[in-house]
Amino acid sequence: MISEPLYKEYLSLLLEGNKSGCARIVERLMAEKIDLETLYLSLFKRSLYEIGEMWVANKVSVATEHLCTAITEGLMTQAYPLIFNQAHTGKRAVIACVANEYHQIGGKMVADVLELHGWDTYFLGSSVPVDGLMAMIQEKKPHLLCLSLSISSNIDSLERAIMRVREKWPELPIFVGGKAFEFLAPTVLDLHKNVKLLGSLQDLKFQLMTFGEARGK
Amino acid sequence: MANNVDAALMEYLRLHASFLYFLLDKENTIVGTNQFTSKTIGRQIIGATFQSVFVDFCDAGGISGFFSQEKSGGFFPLTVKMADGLPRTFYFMFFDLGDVRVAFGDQNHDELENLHKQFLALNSELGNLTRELQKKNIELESALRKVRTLEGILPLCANCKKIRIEGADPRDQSSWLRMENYIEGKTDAQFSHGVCPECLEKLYPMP
Repeated sequence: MISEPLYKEYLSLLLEGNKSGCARIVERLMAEKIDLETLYLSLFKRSLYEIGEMWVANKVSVATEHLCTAITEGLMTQAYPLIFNQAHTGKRAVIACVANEYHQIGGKMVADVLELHGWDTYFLGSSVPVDGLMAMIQEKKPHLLCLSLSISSNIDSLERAIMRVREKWPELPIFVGGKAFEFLAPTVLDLHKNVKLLGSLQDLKFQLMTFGEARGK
Repeated sequence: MANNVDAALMEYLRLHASFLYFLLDKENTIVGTNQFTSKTIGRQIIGATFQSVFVDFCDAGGISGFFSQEKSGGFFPLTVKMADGLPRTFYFMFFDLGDVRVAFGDQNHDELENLHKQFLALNSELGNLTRELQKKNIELESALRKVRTLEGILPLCANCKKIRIEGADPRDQSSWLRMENYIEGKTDAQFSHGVCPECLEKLYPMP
């Protein structure tokens, strides 16, 4: 749905830090009734991953990468009228990035897709300490917890968070995902019941379709 | 060998390094700069006084104070108006070399890095707040659509208390509705029936 020339144009504008140029492309795609997953996966995620790879290859600075991330996060607000206008299912989810994890866009995309499917989401943002996470679960009593991990060296934080949550809520379904799992063997996930690794937003969509049946609801 | 290294270093500093460099005569007139300084300030400064380059230069102590023993060795913040019109602070060190004076100004990289981090965190926080705000706003709009209210002046029959439909002919009896029918038609309120004590006594007087 997003043509290659349009993607290239968007990427070029993003690397220049041209927010209004990028916003015009997003506006155009929204007017063409692009679906949220395509917008997120084929434009936002693809461009950020490509810029991340450019950073790894020393083709762009970390400042450019941060600017591109900040612009993308701003552009995501353009989709909010579409996301938050859905009928509610009564299901609640808490979404967070684990402690020391400052890359929050992936988690926010997950929260937005859940909203699009009628869930009430509580997105806690980046670097959420375990105590804060526990308090939020206690308060909101979610049906689902999603934890995001972008940097593989933060796996210990994820493991600690899962262990603490499991001690108190052994049955709460937990979804984990993020770029870190491209490089990690997620052995921690094997230790716990009801912890699922999400490969992508499409995987999340599939999991959501089967969620009710799997939970016997 | 050492001369070659010095020459390479000098060339790098003159052409590529991102710091301000001013070569001054004894009257503090600028007689030389590096490429970064010319590009950053973006106007002709050779021949101008050192003081004229800065927006916050305070000459109370006299410029010579910068080159005096007690001030040399420390960094002194001065703000220059950049070519793009924005102010930027550089931390200066001054050297009096006898015939000439030199001033080197660099940005505080720790300060910039800290600002960078703070702005990123602030941006993320604002993004999250915007998300919450948008969500609440749409919920509120949805709730408002469900709320139906009555407002304005309602024409009421002084005797039977029927209400006339807005704009309808007052002489036509069908223009007048019983109050409960009117309110049920205009709002989400519903009526149930009972009898108040006063009416109860009138309707069913105790023997």
